[in-house]
Order: sequence, then structure tokens, then C-alpha cells
Amino acid sequence: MQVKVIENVLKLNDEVAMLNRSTLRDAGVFTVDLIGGPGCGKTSLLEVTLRELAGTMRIGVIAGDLATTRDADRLAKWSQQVVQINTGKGCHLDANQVRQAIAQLDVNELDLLIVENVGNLICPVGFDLGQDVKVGMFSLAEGDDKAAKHPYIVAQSSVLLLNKMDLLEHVPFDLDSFRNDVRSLNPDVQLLEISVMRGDMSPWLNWLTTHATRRIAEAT
Amino acid sequence: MHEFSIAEAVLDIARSHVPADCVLTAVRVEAGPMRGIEPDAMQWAWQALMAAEELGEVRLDLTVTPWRLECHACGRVFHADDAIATCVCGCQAARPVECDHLRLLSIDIDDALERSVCRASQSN
Repeated sequence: MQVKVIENVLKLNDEVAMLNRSTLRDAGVFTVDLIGGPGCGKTSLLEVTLRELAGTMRIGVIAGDLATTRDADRLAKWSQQVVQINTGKGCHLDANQVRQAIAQLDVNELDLLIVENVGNLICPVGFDLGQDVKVGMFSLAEGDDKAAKHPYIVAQSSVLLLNKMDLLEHVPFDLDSFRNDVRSLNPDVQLLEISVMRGDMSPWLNWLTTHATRRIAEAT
Repeated sequence: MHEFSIAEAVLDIARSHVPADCVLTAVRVEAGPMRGIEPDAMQWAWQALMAAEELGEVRLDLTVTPWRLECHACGRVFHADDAIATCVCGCQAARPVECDHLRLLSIDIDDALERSVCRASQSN
């Protein structure tokens, strides 16, 4: 006998994500889900972000990895509110894991929370964690076809970061082709071309400051 | 491999719709192409989950729908093999629309009455 269902498969995850979103917004926290492949520079980006913005806002991080606490250890130099989630074999974070991590933070003492998702351009995209925005991260070292090959992260992101622009003279990367693929998939996304290594991050820091400041103002 | 997480989520939702004294025998799932679900990997994940849960043979029917793209220039919505394609108007920029759904459409169940009738007919 066939029983009609027609339900969102990720309904249970999404219900917890809504709880996370409510908890964080009630506390006036602007939350980012940072998604990028392994080695694109996510943790380095966060190190510099924390260093540059620590004086102007209170920032927490939830770092997701299969194993080790290396990312959390690196970031703990800049913030006392850092939680590491080890997923074991899991290739993405889910809303339940983030809820448990939020419980370890004092969200009333935060203005900005960045979730550094597991290094993966595919699996994390489809799971709502309760964030305000998704930020996708690519790097020049990965090749200029990666936006076209990973349409989901491009379509879902409010901001896309293209890191390692310092390599442009040294690797075969067609910047126009990459930009065209991004525009085709998501004409509304902001593409920020940065170099964490050189410290060329002002577009990212400005964007983050603007949105976190807006959330702080809404909460007061 | 997110197919295993998705398989677990499908089973959780399916189970919530199985009445008492009934047995789940099949699930039908529809996914948009943006979800990046590899059909073979999904079947493998599903079988591994069925073995782990000791549920026996529960069939997974998975349909991945084609890409639906909306042309930036003329607004035409068309199907394509990839996320990046050229519209008939010549524009090479078209954005995916409604390509990330992931739904459990229906389930098949055997109820206790059906199973007893089946056993009775087999023993005759």
C-alpha cells in the first residue's frame, strides 16, 4: 500500500536550525556559515578576521573538522569563545551539532558568530545550521572552473570569497571565466577577491562589520 | 559523503509515517540536481543503513530532476544537462531555479492483514 508523504527530507534538521536561528537572533548575534574546500584558507581567514576585529566586536567561532582541535587551537589565541566540533566521518555539520556547540558559548557576550564548516564544497551547503548567511570560499589554487563545478555553494551564498589572489601571476587562472560562471549562477552574490596571505581583506572585513553592526543596532 | 546523512533523514521521516503493525517496504525520494546526490552512492548508503538498522529489503526509488534554468536576458525557463547552459536567445547566463528540493514523496507499507493473507496464500 502506498502512503503519500511529500515532506522535506531535512525537516528535522531544519526545525533545529530554526531554534538555533531564534536563539542567536534573540541574543543579537550575526551568524555566518563559512563553507569552502580543504586548504582554501578558511582558518587563516578567521585568524586574521579575529585579529583585525577583536577590538571592535565580540566574535565567537564554531570550528568543524573530522578530527583534531588544530583549528580551534589556532583561533583560541584571538577569542575565548571557540568551540571545536569533531564529526568523525561526517563530511558536514548539522543543526544538532551546532545547537550543542551554541550551548557551550555565552551568546549574550557575542556580536558575531562564525561557523567554520568542515572543509568541503558540496555536502555542507544543503544543511541549514541556523545561520544568517552562507559565505562560500574558493581559492586560485583550486582552478578557475570550480564555481561552475559547484553551483550549489555559489547559488546559496550571500558572499563568495576568492582567496589567494597573490597567486594570480603564478597559476593559470582565467579570472573572467570564473567571474562569468559566478554571475551566471547567482547574479546577486557579492564576489570579494582577497589575499589572506598579503592581508588584502578589507572588502571582507567591511562587509562583516557592516552586517554585524546592523544586527547589534537591531537588537538594542 | 552526505548521501548517508540524507539516507538517515529519509528513514526518520519515513518511519514517522508507518502505522503500528505495518512494515516499510519502499520509499520514493525526489531530489533537485543542485543537491549533488550521486544515485549509486545514495543506493549504497541506503543499503548500508538498512543493514545497520536490520530492516531487511526496503527499496529506495530516487529521482533526480533535471536542471531548470532561468535566462537572465529573456526570462525563459528551460531544462538543461548542466547548471551552466546557453539559452536559445543566445544569452550564456542563466540561473538555476527550484533545483535544490529534497522530498520524500511516498512510502510503501505492508500491513499485518496483507502479510497474513500473503502467508496464507503461500502455505496453500
